[in-house]
This record gives sequence, C-alpha cells and structure tokens, in this order.
Amino acid sequence: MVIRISGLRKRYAGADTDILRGVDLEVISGDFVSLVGRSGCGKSTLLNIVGGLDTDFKGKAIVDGRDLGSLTDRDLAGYRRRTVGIVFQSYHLLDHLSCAENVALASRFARHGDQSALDERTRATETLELVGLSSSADHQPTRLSGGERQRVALARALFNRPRLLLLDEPTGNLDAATGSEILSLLGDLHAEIGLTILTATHDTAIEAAGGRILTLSEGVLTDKGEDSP
Amino acid sequence: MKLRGLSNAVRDDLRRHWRHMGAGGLGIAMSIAALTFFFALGLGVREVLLGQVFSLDRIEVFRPSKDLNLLALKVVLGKDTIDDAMITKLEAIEGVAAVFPKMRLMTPAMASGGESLIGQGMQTELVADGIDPALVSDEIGDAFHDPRTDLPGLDRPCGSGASCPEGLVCAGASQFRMGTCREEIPVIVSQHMVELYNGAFRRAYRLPKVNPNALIGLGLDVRFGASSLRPSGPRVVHERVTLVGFSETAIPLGITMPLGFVQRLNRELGPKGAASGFHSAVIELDSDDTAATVIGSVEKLGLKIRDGGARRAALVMTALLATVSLVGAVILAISALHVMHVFALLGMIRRREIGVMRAVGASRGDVRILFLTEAAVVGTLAGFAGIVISRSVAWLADRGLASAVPDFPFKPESFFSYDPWMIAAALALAVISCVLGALAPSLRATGPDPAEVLSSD
Repeated sequence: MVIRISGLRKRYAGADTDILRGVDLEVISGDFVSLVGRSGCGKSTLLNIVGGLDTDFKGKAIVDGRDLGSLTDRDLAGYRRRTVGIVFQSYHLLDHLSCAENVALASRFARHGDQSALDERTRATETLELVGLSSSADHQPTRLSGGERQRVALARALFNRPRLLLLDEPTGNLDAATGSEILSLLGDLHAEIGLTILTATHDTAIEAAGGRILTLSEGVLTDKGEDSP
Repeated sequence: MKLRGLSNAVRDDLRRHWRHMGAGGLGIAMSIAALTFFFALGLGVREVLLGQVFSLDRIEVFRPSKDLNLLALKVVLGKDTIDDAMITKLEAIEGVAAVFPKMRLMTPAMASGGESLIGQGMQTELVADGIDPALVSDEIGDAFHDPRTDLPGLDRPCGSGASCPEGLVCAGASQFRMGTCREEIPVIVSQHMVELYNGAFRRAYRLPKVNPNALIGLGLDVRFGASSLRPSGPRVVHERVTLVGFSETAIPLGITMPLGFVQRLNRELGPKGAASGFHSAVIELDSDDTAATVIGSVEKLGLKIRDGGARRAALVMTALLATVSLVGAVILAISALHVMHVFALLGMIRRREIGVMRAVGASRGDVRILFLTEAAVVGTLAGFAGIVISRSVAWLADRGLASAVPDFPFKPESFFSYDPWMIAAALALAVISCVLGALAPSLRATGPDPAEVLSSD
C-alpha cells in the first residue's frame, strides 16, 4: 500500500466549515488515481497533504509507511525529496534557472545517502529526455510554451525517481491538444515506469488516461469505478 | 544540505540579488570602515601616549619625605630613599617583571664645551641622575654602561706630555695642573632638551639649530663638585661625558648617567650616605593590565607613584576608546537593522521560490542556512570592503598629516594602529551583524507550510 488515508479533516483558518470532512483513501503501488470534482472542493488540499506540503490537518495520512502527521520538518523534507514528486497547476518553475537547473533543483538540498549515482546535470538531461524536452535543457522557462513548461515541471517531479507522483490540474492551463499530449505522456509513464500517480483534475478527459476515478464532493470521496488504461 | 548545493545556491542568489545585498552590505561596510578607522586612530594615539609620552608599562615609585620644613628649620623624620631590601620587596610583587633603581647626583656639577657644535664654548650648571643601564638597553644598546674597573691606566695622572691609555681620556688637565685618566661617562638625554634648545633657547641666544643625530658623540667636560652658584666644595672631580643617545627615560632637563657612575660620584663627593639609598625605582610591569594591582601593592609598602599623568592619560584614552566603540556599535546595530530590512524584503520577493525549494525537498533548516550563509558572505565581503576603505582613508590621513602638520614631540609615522586582532574582530563583527540581521527574516520566510505559500501565489 502506498497511500492509506483515514478520517482526514482539514479546515482553513477563518473558514466556517471543513473543506475535507473525513476523507478515506487507499492507493496501492502502481495505481493511477484521478480525483475529480468542482473547483474548490478540496482536491488540491488533499494533494498538498499527501505531498507533505500541508501539515495542518486531522486524521491519519500514511504514505509509503510514514505517518505524515507525525514527521519532523526535516523528515518531511526528506519525504518530499525522495518519495514524492509534485507537479503544480501553475508549474512554479523558477525563471532565473535553466530548465535543467529547475529539474535538478532538489539536488541542491540532497543529503549524503540520497541518490547521486550520476551527476545532477546528466540526470536532469535524462529526465528531460523522458518528457521529450532534452533540447531545451539550457533554455529559461520563460522561453517555453505552456505545454513545455508543464513537461519541465513533470521532469522536476520525476528527477529523484519518486514512488508517488502527484499532479494538480495537469491540464488546467493547457489547450485541449496540449492537455491531451500531457495525459498521454502520463499514461506512458505510468505504463513504462510503473509509477503510482494521484492526480487532481476537473478535466473529464482524464478518464481517457485510464485508472481509478474518485470524486471529491462535500469534503468526502466517492469511488466512480476503475477504468482500464 | 551538501556544501556543493549550498555554494551553488548562494552563488546564484548573490548574482541575482546583488543590488539588494549590495545595499545591505554597503551599510555594514561603512559602519566597519568608521568603526575600525576611529578605533585604529584611538589605538594609535594611545600607543604614542601610553607607550612614549606616559608609559604605563613602567611606573616610577618613590618614598615620600616625612621631613618637616619650618621656615629655615628642617626637621628630619626619616629616610626618603629606597634601600636594597625595598627593591627586593618590589621585585617580589606579582605582576612586576623587573625593578630598576634610580639615583640623583647629590653634588653640584658644571659642564663646559660645545665649541664644535655651536661655534662657541658654553658653561652651565648641570643636573644629573643615574639609572640602571638595563632600563634603556633596548633603545641605546651597550654604549650606555656602568663603570669598567678593569681598564689599565685608570686614575693615572695625565697632561703635560703624559697621555692616557686607549679607552681613557685625560680629565681635568690644564696648563697649570695635571689631569686624571678617566673613562668617558656615557650619558643620555631627553628629546625635550633638544626641542627646548632648538625652540626658545637658541632663538634667545642666537645660536644655530642642531640636528639631534649630530649630537651623538658630543663630549663635554664636567667638573663634579663645582658650582657657579655657591663656593665649590673641598674636592672637585674632573670627568668627560659623551652623549650616546636619546631616551624618554632620561631626566627631562639634565643628563642621565649609568647608575654606577652616579653611585661613585655620590660616594666621592656627596653628603654622607648619598650613595647608600636610591631616590626612586622604575618598575617594569608584566603587562598594562597588572598596573592597578601592582600600584596597590606598592602603596601598601609606603611608596608613592610618580606616573607623570600616565593613569589620567590611560583613563582618558580608555574612555575615548569606549566612546568610539559605543558609537561604532550603535552604527553597526543600525546597519544590522538595515540588513534585516533587506533580507525581509528578499524573503518577500523570494516567497514563491522558497515555497518551491521546500516543495522539492528543502527543509526549513536548509532555507535558513541558505539565508544565513548568504548573509555571512555579504558580511565577509562588506567587512573586507570596510577595512579596505578604513585603511585607505587612514593612509590618506597619515599622508595629509605628515605634510600639513609640523613636527612635534612624539609625532608618530602613523596615527593609526591596525592590529591583526582588530581586523579579525571587525570581520567577525561584520559577519555577525549580517547573520543576526538576516536571522529573523529567515525564520519568518520559512514559517508557513509550502502549500500556504504556493497556493497564495
């Protein structure tokens, strides 16, 4: 089991109600799970909690055997660095770094014992190649299209070979054709690498990528069933 | 976080934010420049004042007279000299490195000569004292030494065709009487004497100005026991003295001889017991810091300090340096606040970047270390810049003072003293100020969870 969440509750400061009201979720290794639901229903919040970006919640969130609610900041950073890769809706690439440097950003915070068989530049180029952008390694993100930036963000998430890939609205800022390309790429990565993928989207086209589709509504998850890839 | 990753991140950030960081560093650089400049000036002046004008590593002690002077009647109530036993007690005080007795010449003396220097002979009453040659051996060397007893021909009659062996001079010979073969007495004088001569004295008597260096080796004939102010005593001893150097240890107005010569003259010509006690003693301290405790111990022995203003000068200089340090610390604190402002601004500008760094695996500690390392680098560079600015201004000031200010006693080559410890301390202070300035912003920047930062962007 990669993810086991039970009774997860979250309320933002100043809000009257919980955005997550006892979410239960189990994801096994190699799953491709899509969270769907209307905007503001808590999909990104759930991803942030699973990604170790948000520690202010109630309930249990155990990922890869780690109870995220009880990890120290240092352990949580190690979890984000080694276990999970996160792709944000607005990419969050750093414009002052090249694509390769963005991809290899995590290596700046690597500890002794972290993966470092190859030098970071080679690994960054290899990862960019995986998403079909090796020729743009030295380009600044500002020179890239939306789809290319999304690929760079995906490469950054994959840089440390995580067990779990989290994607927040991976097609949200893309046109239909580019979104379709990205979904196709995700499907390929899932099939080739066997990654466990959890994605949050309101794009109905995600169903084409296959996998389980869960609906988040009123702060709770309901299973829509599983499609084959 | 590995060192390589840290150095890459610091390099990128300094390159990207050099304007902001430069602005923060400029304040620190100017503060360090001002602080080190005034501190070095204070130390330089202190060195001259306490090292040369009012030496504090040496203090002179004397036994105060208890005699009663009732008009013409003098009631002697005890000795006012220091004996060998007291010298031993002084040597035993903790913090005392050495004790050098001093003795005044207790007989009148008249000096004559100087034709070779100013073109005409002079005759003057002479005041003299004697010091242990070891007291000035560092400055004068072996030329200033106690009497030698092993010279062949010493005290042999001379004159009228009878000459003295090498190393001795015929003292007191005239066309009417024989002289005596004597060792030349090496003497030292204070620079004040030359300044006094070159100032008011030579102008009043229309005499030529003399170069102090040209005076070394000048010989004068001295008649010990003779005076123009009163009838000469039953015995007059003719000697020849030779100037061997200048020292501020010498008596301010008169000549200073090696102690052995003064003891001998006092024994031969002075009143009874004149050679048995010392009139004062110079105490050399282990360090300036022990002065207070040594002075306390000395005063317990019934002696007094003749410090010539050293303690007051030390107090004034200490107060001055403390003021400079306080002002410098205030300026530095203001600069540190400026650094805090700069890093707080950078924290806001880099809010999203920090969120991304944490999302890909940086801990709060990593980001704080990054911030503080950048601050330390800025502090180091600013510290170096401040020291360079300070030394440059000091160099210019020295050049300006050297040409604009006429020579005066104890005028140093440089008015500034940049000790290595001061430079190291200034650098450390610059780094600490920057790091302290960046500490609160680094804590604030890493406070929120990455999700909060990235979702609000």
